[in-house]
Amino acid sequence: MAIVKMKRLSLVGMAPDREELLRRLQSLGCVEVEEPDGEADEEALSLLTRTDDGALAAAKAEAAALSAALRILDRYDKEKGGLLKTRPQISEGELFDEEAALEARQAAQTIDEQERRLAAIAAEEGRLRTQKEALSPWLELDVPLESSSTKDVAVVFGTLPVRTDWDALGAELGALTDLYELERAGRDRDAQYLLAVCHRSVEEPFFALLKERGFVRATLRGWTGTAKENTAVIEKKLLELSGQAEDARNVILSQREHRFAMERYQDRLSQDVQRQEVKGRLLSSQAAFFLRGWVPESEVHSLEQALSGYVCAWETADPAPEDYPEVPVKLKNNLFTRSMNVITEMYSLPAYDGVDPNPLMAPFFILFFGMMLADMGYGILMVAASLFVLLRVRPKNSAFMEMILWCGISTFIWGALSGGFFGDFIPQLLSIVDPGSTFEMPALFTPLDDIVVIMIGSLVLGFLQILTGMTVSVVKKTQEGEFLDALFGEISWWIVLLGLGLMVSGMMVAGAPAVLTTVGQGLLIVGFLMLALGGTRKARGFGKVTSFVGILYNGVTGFFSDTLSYIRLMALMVSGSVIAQVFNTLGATFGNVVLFLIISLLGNALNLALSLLGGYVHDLRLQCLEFFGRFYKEGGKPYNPLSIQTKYVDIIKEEN
Amino acid sequence: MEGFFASFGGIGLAYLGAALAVALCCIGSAKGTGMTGEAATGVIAEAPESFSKCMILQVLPGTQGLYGIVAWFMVLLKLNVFGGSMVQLTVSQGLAIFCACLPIALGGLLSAIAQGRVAAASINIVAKRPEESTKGIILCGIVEFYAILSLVATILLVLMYQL
Repeated sequence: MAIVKMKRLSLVGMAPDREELLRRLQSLGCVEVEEPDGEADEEALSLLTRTDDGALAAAKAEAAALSAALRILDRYDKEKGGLLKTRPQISEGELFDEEAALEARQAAQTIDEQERRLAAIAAEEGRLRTQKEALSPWLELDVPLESSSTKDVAVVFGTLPVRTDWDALGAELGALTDLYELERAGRDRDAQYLLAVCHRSVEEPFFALLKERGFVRATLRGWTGTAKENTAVIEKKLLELSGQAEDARNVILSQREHRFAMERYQDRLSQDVQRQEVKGRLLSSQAAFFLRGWVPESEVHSLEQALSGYVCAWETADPAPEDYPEVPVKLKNNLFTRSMNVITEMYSLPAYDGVDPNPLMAPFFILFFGMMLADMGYGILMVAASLFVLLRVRPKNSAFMEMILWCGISTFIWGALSGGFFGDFIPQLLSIVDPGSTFEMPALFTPLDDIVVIMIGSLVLGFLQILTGMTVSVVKKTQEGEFLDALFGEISWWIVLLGLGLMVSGMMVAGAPAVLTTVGQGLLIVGFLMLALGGTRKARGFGKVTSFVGILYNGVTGFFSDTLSYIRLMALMVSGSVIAQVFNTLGATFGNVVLFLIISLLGNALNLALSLLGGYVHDLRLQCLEFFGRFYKEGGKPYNPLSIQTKYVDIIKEEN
Repeated sequence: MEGFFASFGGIGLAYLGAALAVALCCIGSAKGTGMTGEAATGVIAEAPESFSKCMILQVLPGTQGLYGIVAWFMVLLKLNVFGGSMVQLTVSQGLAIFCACLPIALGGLLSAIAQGRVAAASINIVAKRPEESTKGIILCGIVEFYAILSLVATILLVLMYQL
């Protein structure tokens, strides 16, 4: 339980082995390959260059095509497994199996083709619909649209404004000639559609008058037959197209049976992409390549075995202290403490020469979480839900669910101590069934009656955690040979606190010997002197005064506010329990068991969701600010080895 | 003045405090969750998969409303409203209960709005760096502490007061 010791790996291999060797390393999953940096100035390395043979781009392109195909499939295939689908387990050989890859490629290609076909169909449908739209105003006209003027008669299709007064227009036209005919075809929001026919002899004045009234010629080129006939043809075509689209969709849907192969291939491609990215970090010449990276000390032996089959030269070395910021950080955790990785990784990993906070934080985090929820019912639900997810869904990163599991157990224990089972669910239920019931949950303390005790308890727990953080800091400083810093820092404060404690208890507790106060006062003075002399030893002149004031101010406010911050444990415990009671009481007012169950369970579900969120956020804050602030040295780079990382399948290790 | 209050009795004052605790906290929470929800719609329109992260942020300024309910319940418990026979209060007792409700009423109102601003701004984190959105939640949690302190003050004032 500490930060894993890393070795710097330098490896020179033969160029023909490069792909094969990277595959082997990926399967081994313990080597992080570094970006080459400014060290190329070393004479030997300057001959090597970074390679880019296009394989990365190709792998990325294929992965993109495949994930596009999967997305299309998802869109048409509504029968997905849902969130709780269990991932299949396959061996590494199966993951890289070429036959499955072929199947997946074909399926993806089919899906892509059909999707293109669908797009073409949609475009054609759009075109036809526009045509149909254009024809719709002419539907009532029983004249073929290609009708054109003859030697004696002028035939013109056109539109008039919507508000045209037909009687007035007829009168005006009648005054001009009666060798004309206006046939109305239909209307829409913008215009009235009509066919105007007149004898050639009156053509000019006739159309001049019409134009004055807002007549506009319509172009209907390319049509033969009446609008109705044309519309029928278009509708037939549309029907055919929708049949084709249905067909294409069915073809896509039929690729569903290849989904697993596609997902597996997608996983395989992401391995290829990862490996090619690493390949881009290698320095190569025509004949050889150079790899620089990190490997955990404990894995060196298996690396040696893996490399034994290849012609290569390699060595490992301990990193120098000035290289520490570069060293990737991996935390070595046991079953219990690894759940805390959620917090450490979210905050920031410790520096390589820092302290792994997980084992120190786990007991506090879990204790506090349980304290804030403190309900047997909620605890049971948390344990059940997390066990279900861990065993059935097997999430890739199980840390979060493991955290819920441990916190659920803690919640149950605190709930048992404080007599909470969905708040006061059981007593309320019993009093509905039997109004005379006076049953009360057995409890060591209850949030409502022992509020002061709980408050003091939270502050004491908080103070303990802060002391733990200080202790870690003292140990760390001592190990690094900076004992004086610890002595004039944390240890001086301990003396002050101890003195303060003795003095106060000497004054407050009746019958305490007076010597207690005296000793306390003495310790207090010693502590302050240590702070004043030792804490300011690096400052000069007047700086000593400001430095001392700074130490005092930061120290006192820091202790006070950090400890007070733990009061939230009590507040969340009380408010969670009260909210549950509010819902239970509300449900019980109707005196009906069914109504009570519905209201109470809904309310408790809401309360549980909010309490989980609140408990997580506030617990996180206590750890990251109040606790880490005392000792934590952050800034580690996460360890990210070349390995097989799958999304859709789980890999089972083969014996080889 | 005394006659004015006396005509209402202590119960009226105590109820006024409890009602204000709920109402002001709920106003604050409604504002806070409201502004976060507005900010979230823009992100969800672009990236519907970020819904759950946005919702968590939106819920955070909602807790003050619950704290208001907690305070309200504490007062009703104190007055034995659920037990059937309500405690009769003098004007000064009623005034004490009223004052006890003030911390959470005002602290809840203003902290919910302030927290809502942080949560709405944290929606930006969800939009640009979804993997870092927990940090936005922590930022909101820091504002929340002041609502918790207000709640602690109200609870202690109500429970410690001997009728």
